[in-house]
Amino acid sequence: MVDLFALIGVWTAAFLTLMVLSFLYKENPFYRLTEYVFVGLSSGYTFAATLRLFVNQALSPIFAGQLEFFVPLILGLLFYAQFTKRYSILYRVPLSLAIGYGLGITIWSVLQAYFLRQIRATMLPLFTGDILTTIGNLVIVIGTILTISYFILHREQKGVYGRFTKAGKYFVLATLGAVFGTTVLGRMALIIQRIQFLLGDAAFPWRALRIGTADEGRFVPIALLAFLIVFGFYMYRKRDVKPEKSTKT
Amino acid sequence: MRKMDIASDPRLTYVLLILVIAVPILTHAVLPVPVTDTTRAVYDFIENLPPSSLVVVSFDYSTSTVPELQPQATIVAQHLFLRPLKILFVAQWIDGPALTDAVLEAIDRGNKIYGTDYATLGYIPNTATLIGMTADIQSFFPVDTLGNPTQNLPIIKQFPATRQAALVITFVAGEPGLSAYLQYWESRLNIPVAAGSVAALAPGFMPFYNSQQIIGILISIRAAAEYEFLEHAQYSQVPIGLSGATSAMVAQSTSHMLIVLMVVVGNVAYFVRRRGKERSK
Repeated sequence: MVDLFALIGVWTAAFLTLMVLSFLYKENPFYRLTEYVFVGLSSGYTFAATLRLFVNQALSPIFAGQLEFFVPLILGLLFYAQFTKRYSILYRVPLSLAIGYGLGITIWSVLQAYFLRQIRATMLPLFTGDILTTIGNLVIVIGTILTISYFILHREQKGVYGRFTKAGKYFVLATLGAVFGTTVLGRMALIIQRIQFLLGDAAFPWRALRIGTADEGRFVPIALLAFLIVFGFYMYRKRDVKPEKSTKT
Repeated sequence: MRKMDIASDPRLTYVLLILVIAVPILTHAVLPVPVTDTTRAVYDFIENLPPSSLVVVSFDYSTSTVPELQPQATIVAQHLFLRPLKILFVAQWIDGPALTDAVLEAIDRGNKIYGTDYATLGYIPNTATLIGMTADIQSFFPVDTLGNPTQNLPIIKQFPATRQAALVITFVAGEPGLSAYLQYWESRLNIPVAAGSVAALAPGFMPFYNSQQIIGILISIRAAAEYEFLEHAQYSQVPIGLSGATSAMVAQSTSHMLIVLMVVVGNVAYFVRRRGKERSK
């Protein structure tokens, strides 16, 4: 059973996806329009969500009689004092509170989570009964030492020490390779799901993404065809128009 | 000259990529995915949680990373709803509450009752709230996302602070995300943390897995497919395809093969061309 409103939603999503993907062919007004729509929607959504948060977490408790909520509200308002000449000094009050609180709470936890626990995790036995564990532990310990030595910058990296740090550089490069590989994995996931959607695939998670249902999804290829005709016609009309010269001198 | 232009046109790559992705999707090819240790660790931990344990699920991503993280969130949420657990949904990113609703709509919630077995608290605007809710949820979330006063919710009466949580799982696409839970929940309160991560961030999270600061990592859409197979094996009522991840796996493999092929061909072409130039000199 096809729901007309859901179908319109699915087609809107399909057209917007195709308008974005049209950039792969060439810069065009369809792409730019989607860009503006995205910026507008994001800003509007963020504003509305923040406003709702303010009402729920600040105003509602005050109206419910919890007057202590006035204190953070006033402190928050003081941030706007920086926009006036006369009272701009007042914004230092919430700022200094935020910095003091932030630093106090962060330093200990950063030291614990990122420094002490990580150092402890490199204190591994270098000879274990299992050969694979031994190799893994050796890679972690040697890799950590060599990589950190690469970032000791007060000494020129040449001679024996240079070869030592160069090995550290290779560990950094291997890490970058892993990051690049997984980035490709992630980017492919994005395009695969979009193609699944554009093909109206029944296996596309229609419900999990709240984009209609598989019933409406069967009609996505019509939107694909319609867009290709419109885009093809636009490109045909523009085929002889030379690109505008830059006005910059 | 013209021939070379076509070969170096990136649009040829796009066409090839679309083809190698579209063919497996159209043929509905599905292959089983070997389960990695990082995924199994998360599954086993949730499976072994004692009944009535509190789990906090944090949606720390936006719509741009939905293809990677929404399948994970869906299949993990389904697992949580199949077990006798109490669940609180929060979000460190402002899109999170809407994405939470989408997940809750997609899964089978069984006989779990809103307010008693689960609740959606919504957006965590800052670190102070993240820390504060470990001591008192009601003060920092006076109302839930539906506008109900949290003091009236049975789940909040049973668990007034998140320091009682047996697990927090964050689906994370950047900052704020995992680091906040590591710093303020795991380090200070020993609350076990799991992460569902976009692929690009996963290598950076591995040291935390090795140091046992996080119990496991779900890496991108692949982990969602792995988790789906694990869950389906134990709970046959969970259909393969709920998250949409499984159907994407073959296309994922074919697209990776194309990229590997292009890297190899590109490098061979470079060296052949360089040798040709050296000979001509």
